Amino acid sequence: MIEVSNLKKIYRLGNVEVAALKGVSISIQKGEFVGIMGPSGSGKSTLLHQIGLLDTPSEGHILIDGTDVSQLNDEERTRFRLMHLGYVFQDYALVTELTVMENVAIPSIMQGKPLAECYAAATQVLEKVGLKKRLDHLVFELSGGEQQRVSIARALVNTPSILFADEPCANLDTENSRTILELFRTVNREFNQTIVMVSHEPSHMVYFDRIIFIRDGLLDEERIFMEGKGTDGHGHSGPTEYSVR
Amino acid sequence: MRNAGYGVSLYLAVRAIRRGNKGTLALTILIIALVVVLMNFLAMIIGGVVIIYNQQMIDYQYGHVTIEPKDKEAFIANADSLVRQLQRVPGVTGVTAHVSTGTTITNTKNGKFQTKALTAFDPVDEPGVTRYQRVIKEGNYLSKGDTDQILIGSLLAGNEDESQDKMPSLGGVKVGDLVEVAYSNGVVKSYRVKGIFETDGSTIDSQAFVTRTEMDTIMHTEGEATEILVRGASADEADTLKYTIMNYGVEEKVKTWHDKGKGILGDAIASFNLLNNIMTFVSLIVASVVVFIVTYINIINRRKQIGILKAIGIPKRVIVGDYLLQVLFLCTCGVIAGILILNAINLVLSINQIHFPMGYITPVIDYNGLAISIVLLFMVSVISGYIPARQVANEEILDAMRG
Repeated sequence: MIEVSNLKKIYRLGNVEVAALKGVSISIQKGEFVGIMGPSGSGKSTLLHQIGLLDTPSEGHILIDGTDVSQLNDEERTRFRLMHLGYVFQDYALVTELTVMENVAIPSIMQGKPLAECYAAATQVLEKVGLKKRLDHLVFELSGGEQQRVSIARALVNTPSILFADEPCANLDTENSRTILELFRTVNREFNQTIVMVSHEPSHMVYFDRIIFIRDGLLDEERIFMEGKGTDGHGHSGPTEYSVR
Repeated sequence: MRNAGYGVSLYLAVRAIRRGNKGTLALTILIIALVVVLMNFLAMIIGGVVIIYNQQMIDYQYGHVTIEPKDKEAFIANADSLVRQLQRVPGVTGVTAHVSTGTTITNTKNGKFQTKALTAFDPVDEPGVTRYQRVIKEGNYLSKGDTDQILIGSLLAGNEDESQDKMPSLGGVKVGDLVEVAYSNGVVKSYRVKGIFETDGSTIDSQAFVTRTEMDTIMHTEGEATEILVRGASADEADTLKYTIMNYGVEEKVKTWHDKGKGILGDAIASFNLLNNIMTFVSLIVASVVVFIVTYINIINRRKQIGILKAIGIPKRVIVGDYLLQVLFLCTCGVIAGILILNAINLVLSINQIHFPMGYITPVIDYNGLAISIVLLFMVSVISGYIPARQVANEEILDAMRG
């Protein structure tokens, strides 16, 4: 589904070049819930931004469903994001002048679907994330956890191939974090939704099928959880993981 | 996808306007409205000045059409028959023949004198063309048989207190006073002031009139005229009337009031228009800077949101379209408010008229000028809105999302 080969990202700060990614190659399969973890400044968010087409890599290739997205121009990348990808950001990233339903409906409206159909789809997905009673609220009237659920609903409304989440629980308390992660887990299991999520929180590891550890811009280690998926409320039982690298 | 794009621009713009800061919205609309007023106010006053000036030229100086002597001739010969001929021309509603001659008019009370062209007309024919009969401030209008009486303008009559005079005068002539007129042929005769007229036109109110009978007696100008004034149905049809008269075989010089007045008025209007154009230009710069700043601040405050929209797959053109629609909305509201304010000012100034040297003026909105200023305003606004919108929309998604 996602094939990343030799991905490099070099930022230029004046005359200084900073290599955030130094040649990462990974592969993600359809239906996987993959966590990208690593210390601060390791390059985990940078990796997510490159795979999620939010940034342009300096070198390397990214294939998503057979399309070499690193070759797409700006307009094609925008369209690809709209049609195939969904995003959940750390700070919710909602449009403040739109209501909950409008925020969720906007990607569908952009796809050219009839407004009634877009609102129906938005209502349906908001019901799934438990916000059916908040449809007409403006986002600032919601709590952080609720805003993040709106963000997840927006990411899911167009049934994307991949859902990218960049530290979605960083601004949330433990209870809200658990709600969001369980929501991801449910979506992943019920709809076979591929999710790629960046986190630095060790307690989140139990939710992932696989964890990609990044350190100093390089792939450090991968851990796959083979069994226990769905065996408890968090989706895993601890001792079934093993390291592949 | 492209059609959906503009729909999304509209969708976002409507919600941004509806749920955005109302104070900023109102202030921006007010500024644009004031720019519209600023761009058109002077033109409105100029329009009023032009109308009153034109009306005065027609009513007191030239009629709709003026017949003048042929080149190298001082008088129109056979003026009486020409007057009768003109009276038969279709569209002519009044004809009057004038004879003017250089004189020196002296106030016998104080000895003050002025050198003026004294004009003679037939008091019966004159009201068919000019409006002197209606602007008698004191005393009476001339009668057909008046021989020893004179009609003088209020500025020529003047005031005993010289400081109150707007131009050189006879120092306070009243109705019933005697003035002495020295003609160019050496004849000196005393006249009783029968009436004083006032039009507010400085050139007009410094004139003096006697009857044709009187002038013919003194200057032997029977059957002659220095000019013949003709009035038609309307000022707008003066050109048509001019050509009709020429087609009737009139060999003298035939000029419309516009031909006669454009030299003096044209210079004044050109000066006014220059000022107006400078004002329009400055107003446009103000408008474009205001719209640019408002859009720029609006966009800078929403950099993060623009980044979010780009991230979830909203194309740049849709985002730019969103802001352009907002600018167009602001501009449309500002223009409507500006037109309303302009009309309100027009109404107030029509009721409380401004006194200009040529009289009280009623401002006139120049709708052609207004239309041009609106088009220009929209153009600069769209450009001023487009530049910052495009600039931020072109930013990298992650840079924009950092705010």
